[in-house]
Amino acid sequence: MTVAAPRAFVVGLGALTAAGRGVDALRAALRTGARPLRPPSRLRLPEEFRLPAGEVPDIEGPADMPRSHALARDAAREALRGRATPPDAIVLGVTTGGIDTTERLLEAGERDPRRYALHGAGTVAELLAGDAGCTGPALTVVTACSSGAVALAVALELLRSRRARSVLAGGVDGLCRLTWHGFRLLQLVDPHGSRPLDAGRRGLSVAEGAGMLLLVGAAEPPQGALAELRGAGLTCDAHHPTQPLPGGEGARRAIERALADAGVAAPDAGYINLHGTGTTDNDAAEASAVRAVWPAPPPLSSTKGLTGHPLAAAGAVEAVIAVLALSEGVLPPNVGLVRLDPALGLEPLREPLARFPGVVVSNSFGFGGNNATLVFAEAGSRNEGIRSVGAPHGPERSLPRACRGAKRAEERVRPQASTVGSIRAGTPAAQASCATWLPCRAGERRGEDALEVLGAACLTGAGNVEATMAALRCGHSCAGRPSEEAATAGMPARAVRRLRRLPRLALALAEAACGAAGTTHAPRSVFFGTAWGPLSETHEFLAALFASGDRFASPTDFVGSVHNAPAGALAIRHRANGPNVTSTAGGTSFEQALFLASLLARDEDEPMLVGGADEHHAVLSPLVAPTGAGDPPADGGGMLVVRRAGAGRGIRIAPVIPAEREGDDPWAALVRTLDGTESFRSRFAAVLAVGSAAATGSSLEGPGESRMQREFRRGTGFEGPIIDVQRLLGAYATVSAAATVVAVALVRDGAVPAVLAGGRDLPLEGRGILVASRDPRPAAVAVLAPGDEGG
Amino acid sequence: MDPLLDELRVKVVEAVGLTDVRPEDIRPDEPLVGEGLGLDSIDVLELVVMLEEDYGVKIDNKELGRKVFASLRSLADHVREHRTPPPT
Repeated sequence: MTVAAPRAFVVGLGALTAAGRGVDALRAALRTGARPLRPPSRLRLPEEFRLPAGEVPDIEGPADMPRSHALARDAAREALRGRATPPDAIVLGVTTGGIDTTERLLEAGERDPRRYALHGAGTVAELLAGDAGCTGPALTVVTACSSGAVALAVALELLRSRRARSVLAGGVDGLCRLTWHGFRLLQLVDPHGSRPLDAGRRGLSVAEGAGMLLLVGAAEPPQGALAELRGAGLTCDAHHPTQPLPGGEGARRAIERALADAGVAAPDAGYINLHGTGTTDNDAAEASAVRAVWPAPPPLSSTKGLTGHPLAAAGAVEAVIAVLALSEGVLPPNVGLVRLDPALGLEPLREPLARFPGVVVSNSFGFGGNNATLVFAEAGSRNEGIRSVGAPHGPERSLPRACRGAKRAEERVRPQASTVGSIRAGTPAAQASCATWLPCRAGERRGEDALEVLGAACLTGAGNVEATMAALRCGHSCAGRPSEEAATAGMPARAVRRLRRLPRLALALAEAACGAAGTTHAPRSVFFGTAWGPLSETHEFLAALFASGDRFASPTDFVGSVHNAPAGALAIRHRANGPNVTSTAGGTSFEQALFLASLLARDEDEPMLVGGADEHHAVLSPLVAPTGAGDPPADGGGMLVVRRAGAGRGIRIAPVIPAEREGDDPWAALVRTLDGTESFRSRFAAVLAVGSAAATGSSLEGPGESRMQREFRRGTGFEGPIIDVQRLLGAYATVSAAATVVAVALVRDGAVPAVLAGGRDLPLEGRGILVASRDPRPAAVAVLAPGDEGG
Repeated sequence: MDPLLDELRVKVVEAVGLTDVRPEDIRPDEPLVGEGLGLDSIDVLELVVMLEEDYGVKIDNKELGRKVFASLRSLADHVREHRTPPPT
């Protein structure tokens, strides 16, 4: 029997914007067409750089707390107000994390790593999880200015796939010098404040903000439902680091995918909230995309003339705006517009319009060519029917209340039958069983989570995967830094001239993985995990700013400093124009990338690139990643070409993301997730484990079992070999990506050599290898031998 | 011989990281952007920063940029005309 997937309903909202603290302040500003952009008080700026910005008034977090964390926490509390139970999962879009604090400390010469503890972009989600009591996954996506929308797309799939019953999802970014001066040096800041769609527009207004939505999965709208998140579409231009495809083709594909995913026809949309940053290129490309989808577009506007551009928060703030429009029937105006650019061919709303739109489309696009479109529908729309597909409408049409809404789930036209498998197209009777909850656990037991490995590559101190395996078989540690040559192997000089270490590592890894997979398996989508992002670019940019009194720094370094720049470079190099998602979560960044790949790419039978990498930086690593500043300094990573495991009989990998319990031993949580010790023993011959910072093997411990190995054995009762990854491959955040590639090689060999297994060669006999991590939360990758059907 | 032109050859190659181009290979009249040297919008902004930092020359709009970055020669001409001696 097929079971209908739960639908995703918005039941709580939180927002902090230039309009003020809280959703009420945003609502009031939207209805009055307010324009609160002004030079920021939080940034110390030379007079000539005091440009209009979107700064959140009325909130001060604790002195040591980075701005993003304070904004996110406040918005999350608003969205969760009155809820007794914590959400099952948290998904955030973040780009800069604790960078404002890091800027201050770095410039002051602070050397104590503890003061940089909140630098990582993933720490915002961790903070919210602790604050809300959420023990499930805390996922962070970093796709520049589409991050907030991508986070909501992830939340939608968590609910549809029953991995969560409720998800807190949103986006946040605080003002900081990095983004302020970065956009200024790119000449993308309008000195008059953002004027989206205006003939004289000269750019965006850098802003801060947070948007949070509490979503629940249910067959029918629950009490208090404000709107339904109906569908999402993610694409990548695979064209240029900052410029959109001139005709807006990538944006158009995102819109079309979102509409198809929502089962909504273009004419059903009653309002479009544009990305509309106010830059010349974005607005032109987006207008082309909108006109390609809608010959006569519905009412539309950009709200960035009000909020400014809060970067990773934009998609989430605009999701809040979409929900307000649907639930309250007021469409916001295109603030800041004076003289409409006739070349755009759009007629944005000049004044607030009182109308229930029924369906709202919300666009968010970002650096790296990332495009994300969300489709929201009125919460109670399901049984109210729908206008016939292709019904004419325009800004002048009046929309009878009874006619707004979208198709019944059963009637949805799915362009690709395989979108999420049979669980989507259920019978009404089956829909009632949405209560069946399959938490984020034991992923590999469910066929759709496992991904077949088509090619794999790693880079370690020993070099490429062949050199690494040869060294390991001789019992040598591969901890160290791949040489510059290894990190550019096979890449033309032109292709890497603007790239520093991390994107070069990523490109070299992908080049080798794709080479191993063969030309028939060219990847369409990219999922990349990195804990620290491009540290070299970030440091170069900030150091140049500090040295010049905030005047000069390289715009190339700014563009390269975003966490998703490496994945953007991968997309361009491999023409991968499907979803392009970068995740960050400390030592489980790669595991999250793999989880997102299995979650988001269900309709992608095409190959995907899934990988993780981090670089060691002489100045920043010892501060932000003290574990990554080990002896010897190490970096590198791993990359795999995978596809959904269908008929394929090859080696498969699957993410394991457990929900913890109070007082849990992290390793025990993993084994419980894998159905207990017995099942664990029978399915995995060996474990490659990445210990916590304190428990990893160090030179002080000498030979014998490390503290990590003893802890793992104690927590799990596992009797097979527990191999210390950090000792073997180096202590850096995404070393588990390299370890996964090593595990794939071992499973392919069918045995763990004596020097690793301890004593004698260990034949796998059809069993797999688990790559286990625990920092900041337990997560693992199950590497399964061909033939293991997953229990 | 034009010392400023030669100085700019080196600075351009350095500023945008053209490891596959020797400064002396840049022809003074070939386009810097697109066809020709193959620079793009980010490279142009990198040159804008270099011009302001090294010569005190500001280029803050696209129309001017198109004119100035048409070729190495137009770049040198603009710098010659608008440079402000650095404070000593």
